[in-house]
Amino acid sequence: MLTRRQLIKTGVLGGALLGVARFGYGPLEADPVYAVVDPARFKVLDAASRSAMAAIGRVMLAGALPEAPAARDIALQEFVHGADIAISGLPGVVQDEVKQLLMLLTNRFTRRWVVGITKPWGEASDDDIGNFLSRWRYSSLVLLRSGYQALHQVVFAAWYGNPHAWVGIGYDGPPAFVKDFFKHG
Amino acid sequence: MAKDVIAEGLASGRWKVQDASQLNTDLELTADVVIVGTGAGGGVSAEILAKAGLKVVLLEEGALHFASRDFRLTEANAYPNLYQESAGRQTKDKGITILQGRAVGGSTVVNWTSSFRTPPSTLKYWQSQFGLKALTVESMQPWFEKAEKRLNVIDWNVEPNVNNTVLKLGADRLGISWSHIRRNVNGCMNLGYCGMGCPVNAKQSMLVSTIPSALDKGAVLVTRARAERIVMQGGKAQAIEASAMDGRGIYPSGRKIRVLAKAFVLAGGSINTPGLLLRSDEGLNPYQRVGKRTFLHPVNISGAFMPFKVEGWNGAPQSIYSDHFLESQPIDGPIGYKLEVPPLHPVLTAITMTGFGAKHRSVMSRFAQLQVVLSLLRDGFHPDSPGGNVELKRDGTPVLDYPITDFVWEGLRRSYLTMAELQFAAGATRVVPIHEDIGVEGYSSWAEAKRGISELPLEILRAKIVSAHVMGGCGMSADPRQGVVDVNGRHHQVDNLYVFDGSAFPTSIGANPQLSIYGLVARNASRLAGQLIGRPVDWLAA
Repeated sequence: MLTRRQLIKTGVLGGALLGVARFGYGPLEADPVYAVVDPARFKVLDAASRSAMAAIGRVMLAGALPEAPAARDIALQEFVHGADIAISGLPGVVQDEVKQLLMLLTNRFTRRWVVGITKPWGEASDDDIGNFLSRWRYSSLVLLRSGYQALHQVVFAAWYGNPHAWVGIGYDGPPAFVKDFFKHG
Repeated sequence: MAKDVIAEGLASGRWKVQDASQLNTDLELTADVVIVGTGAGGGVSAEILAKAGLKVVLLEEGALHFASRDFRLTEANAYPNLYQESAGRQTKDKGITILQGRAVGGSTVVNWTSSFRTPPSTLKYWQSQFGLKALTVESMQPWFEKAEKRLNVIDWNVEPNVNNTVLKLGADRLGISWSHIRRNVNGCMNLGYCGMGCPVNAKQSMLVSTIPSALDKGAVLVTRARAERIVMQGGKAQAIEASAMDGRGIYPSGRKIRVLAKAFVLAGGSINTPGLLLRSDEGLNPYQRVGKRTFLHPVNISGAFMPFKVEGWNGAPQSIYSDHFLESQPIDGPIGYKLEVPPLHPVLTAITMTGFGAKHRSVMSRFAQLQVVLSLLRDGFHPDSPGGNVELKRDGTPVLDYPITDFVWEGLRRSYLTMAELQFAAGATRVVPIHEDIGVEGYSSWAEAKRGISELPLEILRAKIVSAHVMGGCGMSADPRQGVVDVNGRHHQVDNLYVFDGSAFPTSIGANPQLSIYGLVARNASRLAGQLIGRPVDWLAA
């Protein structure tokens, strides 16, 4: 891991760091794609970002995702799509900030040295991802804490915004008679 | 199906409504008065000015939604469509998340209907500190009465939902005062979905009251139009330039709108109104007061697991409050706070509860037992609570820089303690102040909570701080060096430019602000209308 001082520089000079990465590693190359879904459905998330979101979602949503592997994969894919919709609804400058965060997560150099995930997202273990989230969550650096909070917000908004996710939390959705209204309206 | 006043108005063919995202060419309009924003301030202004026979143009960045049919009562639908920045607007350092509306009707479409007159102590402070001698309890009373009548502010004589009942019970057991919240509703069905737009038109938001009435009287409404700058000529405002937005309201489409007018009313709400002034021609900010002293009622949150069902999504969201910690101490002493509860819905709850994985899920699986109390801190009444400052981002959109001072943190620690004590007193099995350093299971006793909260590190992005009330930024003052507008909302340097929204408040209110905005704006818009037509106007005249 980088030292605290280097991390501060990373925060302030994120752009410069990406420049160095490009220099040191040659052209930036995305990790192999983990959650492949019809790319035309996505407005914001590219293949590499979808892999990162799916891996992070897998860990943050542990306990909420279905157990059966097939159902789980579908739920994860729906979640990644939901995250894309949520991000694409943000104002342009805020989308740019989220894209910078995604670049930090998906670029091989920063993924390894800032995020602390040594393997591509699709191969990273739950423990590694959980440790990364906890490091950012409790970081002394406001920038990394804000990165964690952004992920927390996107992941849980995308998941619990989907009526399928309400199973098991005791919430039945909006009152039934209102639903009828809409049907007849 | 509820009667949809917007659908009917549009179908009548009499309304002049232009969705700017559909423009194929640039648009130029002229008016007696152009109003930027259609929320609490813009809505009331529009009705009063249009009723006086003036030609009114309204510019609104959000979209016009049907007044019931479009409200699907899901957060995934409501947040991107009805809120600024998808309900995720944040302060510059991301330490505070702000809920603010963006739609025809502004925040009044999504607020929780709580209606309080401006507290006498707040008006008194404005008189003594900002020279606003005309704003006395007695002089404001008729304006609040008119607003209450027009928007059906009533005593809510329905049993509070369980979430509110816990606040009442806890307050009783601690021996602190509480009272009922009045609400601007007509035919409310007690559903609990006010934050997603009222599906039965019971909430008397601007969308179903003043805006349709202004449109009936010939006002022109341009939606999906972001006001960019005020153009000055010879020391007076001459025009407003606006950008048409795309159909989702995210990027400008490239089409421009220009409105020439005699008088200009800014009512985009705090953050947006100062932002517009900052983007405009020179001469509007000689004393560097624009954007300063912007207030938020910073809010901290305490969750509690109750041994019974709470189902905080059901029933009127806010019906009980306590002002004990506002009234039991001087207004300019240590910061005071108001206690209320929020409605609980899956997305807002899930992003508020800390942690992730199995621990987060264990909280969500007890969603129905979750009770939540809020403290709204009364900022702006002490030198160590100067509020925030609105700046412009690189694309020209505004952002609020609001550092939380030690003075405010001290109040947040006290309010965490109060909320925990109150929730245990009401029978909570566990209390969970929303803070990253507190586990999702929180504390099991008041003694444990007291110890834990006393030692809690208070920093942004550890303590969860939110806001639903943005106020100030173009404050009223008698002295032009102390604020942006005078007691009548008129710009100190430009006499045909007015600020008629919550940004004119020189401090926070110390209560949910909608009725304070309605009352003050009714006063000032009536005054303006009278001046423009040369005789007094009566907002409620038939």
